[in-house]
Amino acid sequence: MAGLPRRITKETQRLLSEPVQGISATPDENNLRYFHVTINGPKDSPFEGGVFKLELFLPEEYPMAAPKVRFNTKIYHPNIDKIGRICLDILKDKWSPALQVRTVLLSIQALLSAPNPDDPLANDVADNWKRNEAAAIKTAREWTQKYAMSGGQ
Amino acid sequence: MSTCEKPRTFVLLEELDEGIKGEGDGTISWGLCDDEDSSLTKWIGTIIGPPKTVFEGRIYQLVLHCGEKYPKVAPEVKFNTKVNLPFVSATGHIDSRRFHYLLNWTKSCTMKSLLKEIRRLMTERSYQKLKQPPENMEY
Amino acid sequence: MESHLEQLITCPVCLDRFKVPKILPCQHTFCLKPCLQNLVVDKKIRCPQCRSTHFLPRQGLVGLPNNLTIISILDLPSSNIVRKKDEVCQECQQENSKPEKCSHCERKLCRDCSTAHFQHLVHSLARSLNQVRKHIPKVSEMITELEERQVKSVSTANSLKSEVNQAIERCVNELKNRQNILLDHVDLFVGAQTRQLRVEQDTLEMELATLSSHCEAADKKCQFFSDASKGNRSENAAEVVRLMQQSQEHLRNIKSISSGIDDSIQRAIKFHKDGENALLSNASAFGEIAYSAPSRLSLSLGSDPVLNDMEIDRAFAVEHGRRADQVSSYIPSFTTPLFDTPTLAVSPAPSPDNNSLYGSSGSTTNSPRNQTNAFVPGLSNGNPQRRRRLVRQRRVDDGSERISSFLSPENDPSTRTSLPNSPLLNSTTNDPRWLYRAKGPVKRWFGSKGSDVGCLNWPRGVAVTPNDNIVVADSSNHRVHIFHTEGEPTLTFGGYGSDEGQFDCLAGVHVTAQGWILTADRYNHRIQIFDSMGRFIRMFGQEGSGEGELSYPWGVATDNMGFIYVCDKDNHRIQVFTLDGQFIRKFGRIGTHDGQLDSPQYLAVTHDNKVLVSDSGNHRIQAFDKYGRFLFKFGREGSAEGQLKYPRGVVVDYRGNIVVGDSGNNRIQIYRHDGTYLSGFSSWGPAPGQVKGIEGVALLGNNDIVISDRENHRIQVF
Repeated sequence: MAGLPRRITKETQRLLSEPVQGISATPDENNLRYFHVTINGPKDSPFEGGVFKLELFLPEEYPMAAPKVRFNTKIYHPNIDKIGRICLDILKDKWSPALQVRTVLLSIQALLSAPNPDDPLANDVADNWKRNEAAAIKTAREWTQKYAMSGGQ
Repeated sequence: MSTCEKPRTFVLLEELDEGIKGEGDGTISWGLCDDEDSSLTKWIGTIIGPPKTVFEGRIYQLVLHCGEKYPKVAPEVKFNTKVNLPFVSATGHIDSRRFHYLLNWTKSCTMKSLLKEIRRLMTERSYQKLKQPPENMEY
Repeated sequence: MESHLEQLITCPVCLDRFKVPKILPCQHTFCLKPCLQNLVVDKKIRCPQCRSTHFLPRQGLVGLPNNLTIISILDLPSSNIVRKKDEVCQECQQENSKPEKCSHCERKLCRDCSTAHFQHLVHSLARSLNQVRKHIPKVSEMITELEERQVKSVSTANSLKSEVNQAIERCVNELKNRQNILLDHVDLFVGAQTRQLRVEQDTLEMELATLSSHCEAADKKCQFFSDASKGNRSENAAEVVRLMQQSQEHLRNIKSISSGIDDSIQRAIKFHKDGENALLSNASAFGEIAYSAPSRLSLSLGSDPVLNDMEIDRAFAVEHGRRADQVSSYIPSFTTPLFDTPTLAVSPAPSPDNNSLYGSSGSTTNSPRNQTNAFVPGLSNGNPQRRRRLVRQRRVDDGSERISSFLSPENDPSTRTSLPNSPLLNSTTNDPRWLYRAKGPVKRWFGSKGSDVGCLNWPRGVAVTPNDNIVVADSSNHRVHIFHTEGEPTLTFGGYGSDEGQFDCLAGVHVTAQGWILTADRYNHRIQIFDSMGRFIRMFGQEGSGEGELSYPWGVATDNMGFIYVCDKDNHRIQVFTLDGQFIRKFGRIGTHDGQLDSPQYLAVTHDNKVLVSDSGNHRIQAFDKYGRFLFKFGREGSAEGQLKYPRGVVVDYRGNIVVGDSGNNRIQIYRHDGTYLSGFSSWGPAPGQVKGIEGVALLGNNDIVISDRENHRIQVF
């Protein structure tokens, strides 16, 4: 574990020993700064029942700089774009070193529960969400079914 | 140590971010061919031919293919726009054996610096004698 | 309680116990170093907890107040918050759990740390497994390679064995051939002597009869004379005188006879086995199977060679200690005597010929097989260096194996250079005269006047194919007639006319190295080329005296480059063409000086591209180099030994000896390569062995001389 800051070690230990409900984060075999993450779609959201895969990387400057996260599973969400990038303030300017991987993943889970079309990354999705929320939610549910269930893409 | 290595996805996402910001003078640019390509494999780059060279005023479009092992392994680069350069094959492919930047590729290299280097080579005096194909021809 | 206390004294940035806890104006506490230090931007600091921004005091971070509460908690006796030393996790330095000894690194780790450590160990195991797996294909590749090499070894063994068998078989065959030749020679020499002795005996028997009848007659006369009354006295006296004279003569004869039998008749015939010992010792040491270079299986894992060297420095030489590279210079001294000794010699032994050209050659005829090889292109242009390939090298992959063998035909002149090293070459039996001494009796003849198959009508040119078939220019039948070497007709082609494949009194004929038949189509003034089956290939030339034009072309031959030489008879010159008929050069013009020609009729090209022309009208043979420069000449008009009268056919054997059809003298004469006379035979007449107007001459693989006996309409073999 040489070269790996104590903080990352501690966080990893915590993640493994006290996992968060509906979230798993496993360090990569060859790169302990790189995590394979799954987040279960929150209850009562269009993503319910889906298992979303993400990847997370702790950059050299961590915890002074935010972790880097992206969705690997396709998802229809106004704050997540076509290539899985997430629009979340704490991953950008609202990052604080007091935040942790655990908190970041919880925030992402929360984002799934409460999409925020006013701060969009995927403009067309946000437009749909604002114009016809029901249809958008329907699409999101279809995508969840198509891509995030039974080991879909 | 391997634990500090930045995974391919995040290297490419950073390059994508930088590409959107663009290089200050706009002489080169790069981005995904398809903005829905979550594999981040196929990229398109453009080079504006440097002034006072035979390449002046031309826009060169290139396709860069970043494989699974990028950035440890260099991308495959191919010109879409016809050009006559010694390291570019008849099909537009850049021959990595004849192009030092690809030959000496390391994981800290980027598509941006690659494009910059190609543009810099376009200003080489010895290349100014090369007869260039008519404008806007494609491979 | 414990964990809450623990949380209170843990920095939220480094997640470690506070070190110098400083309190921000927003009441949140962090370590001074490195946590707060890293957060300073522009003399401002943003609280990681509440994101409120604060200006730093003048003294900087140090000026921030310490969190005295936390410090006091940290200062509490360890029993309250700090566990005993051995209860501290050696990884995280925390005391919140009972650390256990790790069996891997012997450190005491808390549950969290040992879980992480265990994960890490699992990862390391996976990584090393991956590394091991990477090598698996390499190892199996090596196994495959070894299997392939085993298969290759077996096939190498088989091919080596068959090479050895072939080489030995060739030796045995050579010796058997030699045996037959020597036995033939015994018959030949002893037979000749027996005949001569019988002649002597006949002569003496005649003499005896003469003497007896003389005595008887004289006795009667004596009785008659004793009765003095009988007869005329003076007549009687004369009769007595005559008888007396006869008796005297008989006495003289008897005296000369009784002086003994002429020893010269029965010369000792001996079997010289000069080379026998060398041959035997060489035979027992013949050949070598050896490794000449190590062959290493180059696959290896990392830097350690995994497999043993395949290098085995061991030679299965019959003669130990001899290096393979010595074989090449060694074997020639052995192979040569294999053919050349032992020889049959009549004493007094022939004087050694100093001519080194013959030095390396055998003294008598050689086996047909070898000469078939040597004479492939039809004698005149065949490579006469009847060399054996002595050491054959064969490269096998990266290593090389050397297989020594010999007796395979080899034309490489480089092997010649090793020959002078041989101590056995200057044996006493290398005189080329022996090659032709026995020539004279006709071996066979075939053909008779007519136009049926097997008949001939004024045969002119004659040539021999690589497989010893005899090709005859059946001139007045306007066809080419091919005979088996024994005389059975095998093929005819052509017919009168001037179309492709037709002839008008063809004269010269020649067979090229690849078996093509060249014909000088005399009255059509052209050369026609056919393949070995008589299928027309091409023709060139037309009547005239310009370049490439011909006037009654006669002899035709090729050199070892494949150029065609034509006797352009009535233009008194030689013309040279490529095989496809392109004119190259011409040389010679009418005259009697050196280099000038008068009706050149036949020609031959030696292995070193000397052109020998029967300069018929000048009764001589002239030699030119391939550019047409005069080299030398021999022969002049006459019928003494070596002189010539209208010479026609000319051919060169593999040693450069020149056989000339001395047409006007109706004989065959043989000269050395430099034109000095060797021997001659035959005379005018219709009997077998006699000739009427020799035209072409050619040599069979066994050095038999084939001549075209024009006016007897037959071919004879000597």
